[in-house]
Amino acid sequence: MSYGMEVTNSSGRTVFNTDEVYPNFYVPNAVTTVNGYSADPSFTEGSTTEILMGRPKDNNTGTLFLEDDGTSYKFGGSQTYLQTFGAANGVKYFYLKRQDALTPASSGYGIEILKPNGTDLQFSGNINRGFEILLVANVAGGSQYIFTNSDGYDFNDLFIAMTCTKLKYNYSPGGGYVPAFHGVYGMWATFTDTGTDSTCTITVRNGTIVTAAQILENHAFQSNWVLAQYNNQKFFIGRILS
Amino acid sequence: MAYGFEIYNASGNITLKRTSRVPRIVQTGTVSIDASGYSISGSFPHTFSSNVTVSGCADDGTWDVITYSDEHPNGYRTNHATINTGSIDMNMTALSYIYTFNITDYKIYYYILRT
Repeated sequence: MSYGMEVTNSSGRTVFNTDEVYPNFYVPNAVTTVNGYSADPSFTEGSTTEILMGRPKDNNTGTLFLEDDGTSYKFGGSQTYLQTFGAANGVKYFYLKRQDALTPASSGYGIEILKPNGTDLQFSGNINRGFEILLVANVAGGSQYIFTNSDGYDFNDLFIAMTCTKLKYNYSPGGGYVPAFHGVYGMWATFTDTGTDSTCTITVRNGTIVTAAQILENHAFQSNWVLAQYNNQKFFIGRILS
Repeated sequence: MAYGFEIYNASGNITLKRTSRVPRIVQTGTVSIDASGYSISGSFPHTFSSNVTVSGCADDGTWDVITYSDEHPNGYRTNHATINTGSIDMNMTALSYIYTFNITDYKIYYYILRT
């Protein structure tokens, strides 16, 4: 590069340079903690400037998913069968926001880097927290991916992109000669806090389960789901910097 | 830290950190897919696509795409991406004819990441 700024790591690989003109994502606001089920994060479907990140309350184990309650998407647990499924009883969340959708501080300290068109590529003033993506992975249809926090990061700082965990649970109680129906479709993420950061896990599951009985988050997938091969899904997990 | 740079705010939180090549979100967006051929008489599964130009991208293992749609999961349709050289196909695969037909504006939201 002929001008600008470049940082390389110990292997000589570029970790950052100002030729990269895409906006970075940061955490402009404080993390929100909500007790109980069905927290409403005011999620906007399809936003290109913010990404909802979520996890259970600090030191808690629970399953994260976005549930469509008919009017909007909320954290899961609106019904007893969803709570029994494993929905987290209390969540933490925040929005990753694209930096060019933020307003930089007009004065203060830090660095500010502009794109060729004069808008901000990166600035450090007016940012609450940074964020780094730890894992981008694929989970095949009818299967699960287990992420272990083996690097020992504070597990309470780890979050999953909630748009990767949309889930629909259909339930009909049945009656007469008609059996009850339980059906789960989509993805969900179970945070398991063992009390030791390095052994805590996030299990991301993707698939369809249909049965006459209550479904739990770790229920076996349909072994005869012939369309599973068309249902690969990706997700990402990251940590808030502190 | 052994190398790179970190910048902290007045509260002691890191606001910028560049010490390793971590995955980054390089583009977000929405595409609309015309699946008007999606009908009860179609053959399944069937994939409908919309192509997005992405400068410099390649199927070399350093690009990832996360997709989700504007409907709740239902077992009848799914979405995913195919990375090509210089572009990415955003796909909706119709798994069966049940539920809804002739969708002309199926929206896929996406995050493109570089690792």
